[in-house]
Amino acid sequence: MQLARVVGTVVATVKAPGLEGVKLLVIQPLDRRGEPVGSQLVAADAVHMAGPGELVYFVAAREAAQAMPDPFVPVDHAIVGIVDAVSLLAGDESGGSSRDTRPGRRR
Amino acid sequence: MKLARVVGTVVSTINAPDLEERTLLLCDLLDPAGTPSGGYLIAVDSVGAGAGETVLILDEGNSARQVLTAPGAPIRTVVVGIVDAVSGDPATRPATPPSPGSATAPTTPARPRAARQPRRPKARRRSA
Repeated sequence: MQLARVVGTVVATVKAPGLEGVKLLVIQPLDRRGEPVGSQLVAADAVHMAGPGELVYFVAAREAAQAMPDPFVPVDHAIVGIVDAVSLLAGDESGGSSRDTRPGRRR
Repeated sequence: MKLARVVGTVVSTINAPDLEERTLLLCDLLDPAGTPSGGYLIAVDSVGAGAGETVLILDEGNSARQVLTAPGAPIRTVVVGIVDAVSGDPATRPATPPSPGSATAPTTPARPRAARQPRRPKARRRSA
């Protein structure tokens, strides 16, 4: 699963059987710092509540269709959640602490 | 499977029913030398991994659903192990992360304590 920003909607009246009623959204995949990465793609909205501007996460490949009510639909990217918060470990690039833990340092 | 390091969590309340009450971990993928390769994945936790740990990630749907015993879940990426050590060529061995709370083996042998200086005999004061 990866993070993405919803940037638009897709309307299609003629669709493959099974895609009726499925909401299609244009999403921009993001890196973990929220910067756009890669090209935009169309994903089915499996939570029925995502809208343009929202930060979501999506699943790709066969598992995307598993998120739909009928799992045998031609869907390869599906939004499976709306992100409330991404909490990164503070200072995850740094090494250990620089605090001197030697006991009984002599003067 | 892939080696990755847990760098954070993703919190979500509106999600697919199969993702309810599952911990989502943000994991940086590692190259064979143990440095982040630039990519990342959001993975479902199955082993209780925490931030900063090197983990084993399964990125295949059928196995993921089997591990989670969730047959129809739209889940493809699962953390299936916490890496203690990777052996092999030292040049390509992943660096052990500084995980909080766990004792890490020192990479350099402890420095031997400096030999104590022999005590200087006290100058005896002679009373005249």
